[in-house]
Amino acid sequence: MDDEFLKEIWEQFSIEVDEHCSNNEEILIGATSNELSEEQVNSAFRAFHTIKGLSRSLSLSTLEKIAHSAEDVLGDVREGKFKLDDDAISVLLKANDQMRVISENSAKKMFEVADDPKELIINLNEIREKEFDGKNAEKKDNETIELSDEKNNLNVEDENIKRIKKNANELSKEDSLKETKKQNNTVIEKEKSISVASEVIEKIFSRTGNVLTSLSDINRIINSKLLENPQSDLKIAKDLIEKSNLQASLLNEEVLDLRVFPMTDVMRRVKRSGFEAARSSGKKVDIIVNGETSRADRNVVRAVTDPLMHIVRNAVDHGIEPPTERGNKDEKGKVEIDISTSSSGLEIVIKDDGRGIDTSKILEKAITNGLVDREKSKQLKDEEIFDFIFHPGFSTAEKVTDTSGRGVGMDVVKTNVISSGGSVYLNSDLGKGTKFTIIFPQITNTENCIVLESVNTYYAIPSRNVVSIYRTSDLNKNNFIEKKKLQIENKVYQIINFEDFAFSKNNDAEFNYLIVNFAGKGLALQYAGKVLIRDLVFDEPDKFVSSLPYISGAAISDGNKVVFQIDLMHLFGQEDPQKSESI
Amino acid sequence: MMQKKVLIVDDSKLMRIIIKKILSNDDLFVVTGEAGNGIEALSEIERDVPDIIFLDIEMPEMDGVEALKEIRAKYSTKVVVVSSVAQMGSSRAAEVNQLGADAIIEKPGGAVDPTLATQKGKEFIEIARKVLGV
Repeated sequence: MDDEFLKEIWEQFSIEVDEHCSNNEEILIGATSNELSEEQVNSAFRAFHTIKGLSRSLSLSTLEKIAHSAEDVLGDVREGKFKLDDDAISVLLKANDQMRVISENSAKKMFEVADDPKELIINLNEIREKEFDGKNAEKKDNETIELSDEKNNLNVEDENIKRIKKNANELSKEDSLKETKKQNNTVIEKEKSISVASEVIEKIFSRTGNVLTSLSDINRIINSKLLENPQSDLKIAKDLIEKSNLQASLLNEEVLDLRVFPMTDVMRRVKRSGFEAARSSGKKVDIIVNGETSRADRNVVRAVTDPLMHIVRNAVDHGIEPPTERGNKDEKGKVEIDISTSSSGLEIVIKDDGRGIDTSKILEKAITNGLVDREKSKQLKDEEIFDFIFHPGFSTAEKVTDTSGRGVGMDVVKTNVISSGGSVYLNSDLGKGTKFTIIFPQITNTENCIVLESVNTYYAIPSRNVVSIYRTSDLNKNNFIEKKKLQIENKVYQIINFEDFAFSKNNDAEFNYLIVNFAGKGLALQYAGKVLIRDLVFDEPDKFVSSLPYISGAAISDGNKVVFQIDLMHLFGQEDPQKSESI
Repeated sequence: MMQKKVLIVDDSKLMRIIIKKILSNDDLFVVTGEAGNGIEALSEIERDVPDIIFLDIEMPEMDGVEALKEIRAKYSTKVVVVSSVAQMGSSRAAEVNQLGADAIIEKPGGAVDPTLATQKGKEFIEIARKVLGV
């Protein structure tokens, strides 16, 4: 009984219990909207049964007890004695959570670490006792009929299994060499993948980006030389650069792929929290997720988890009406989450068929809170009104619940999404429902930027945040409505002087005005000097860079020039939050 | 001494590790294959017919009962069903007996407790030896 062996056993134990618990969680949450199939019931039963057996082997008596009681519940379901209702599912989920925790903690210590599971065991046993009450006598008659149907299904399943078996055998004959190697499916699968520290991936990610930007710098220089002298030998160099560029781009795509994860785990948590919210508010809600296998950058996956949970809980708590208030709609509410990816990025749409949001209520609240005055509020478009929901401290919820509606939340949702480069919009149809759209642009390691120069120091703003650039000569007196305010096409922008935060001053006679948009707000950046466009790779800021005000990172461009990334969050946060006002 | 080839069938890798460890105490046994369900077990047997199979009952894809039926139809290999305590008196255990399992033994418990493990391991090996008639 050597240490290595013990370590291996405990590690494997924790991995297996975790796998079974994840499997159970998915099945149980699914059971809240659709009746479980025979295979799903079997699978959950087997998982609890296996955990019980594994716990016994490692002498984890508490874990064994919980697994045993849970297995008994599933055993009764398997025999058709009753069906799982939401209360039962909730208890089973709790048991499942607790088993995961015990296994994790115990594996670390290599002996059982567990609280007294008495209440949980009682709750689990109650599920079974409750179902044997006379109340269900009628229900049971129906079930007997279904049971006999299920027996027919069983036979069909037998046929299926035989067919699968036959296929498997034929396959093994055809491919006997492969089979010989295949000692064990799981072992081989695990060997196919290796784990790499995320910092290493981050480094590779930024290095490939740097190679790409250097190539694009060289390309630009060659092009300008070729313009001067088209006959130059540089033509060969240009071809070579293009070839390298293609290879580097392909490499880059593969590196990007390393950072990408499926949304499956996150969506399981989101479904779970929606389910819990529905239960505690006594509502009937189906939570449907489409496209959960979509993959996204791991930073995005991380950033979107809390906002998604919050939006879904909010939809259940405040969006979906209690069953008696749903009028013509189905008594059971629906929250549907669609995840899709395209070349432009990740899009997540969360829509509910609840009561919707009353724009007049939002307006009243906004006026009371002094976010807008009554006169101006009349001209606001719906989307601008909905945007108030994301304002700090804004909530029209009349009731305060455990999970949401304390007036905090939606602003945090927005901040979380924006700080990871995404955006969030809200739309609502009174009486019909509410829709949130979260969009994350495709993550790239190079960012196309507008670069501003100020006496050999360079500053960058992502091109996607710069809506337009005006020169003084493009504008007239009417555009400058008051001191430090610029009006362009019905929008008023606060003017921020670049020199207010840049190191040094330029003496260019003419100003540029960059209209910068960020988090739904806009401002005009006044700047005298050249405007360049570059693809940049920003490294994580070091101590020096992060000590600079208004700067969030640095990149190298044109061989050796340092370009500072302007911290838009800081720039926009410092001033009056409502920088652009509609007229 | 002629070594006996062993196939371990259990959907839990942990259980397979434990059984392997127990068997490693007796030079008579050499584990030549592992499988995570009935279907994998059948292809393992076809690849290399073992002298003895340790077979779990509850498994995905194809369970131990189904696998046992298939094995008995084609091979004379000894089969020891490894079951949890609760199942040992159940109808499934009776079914397994009828289908021609050579023995049913309890899943090895207390694997991380050295004394208990030795004791359980001993039982495990004794039964396996008895089934093989050595």
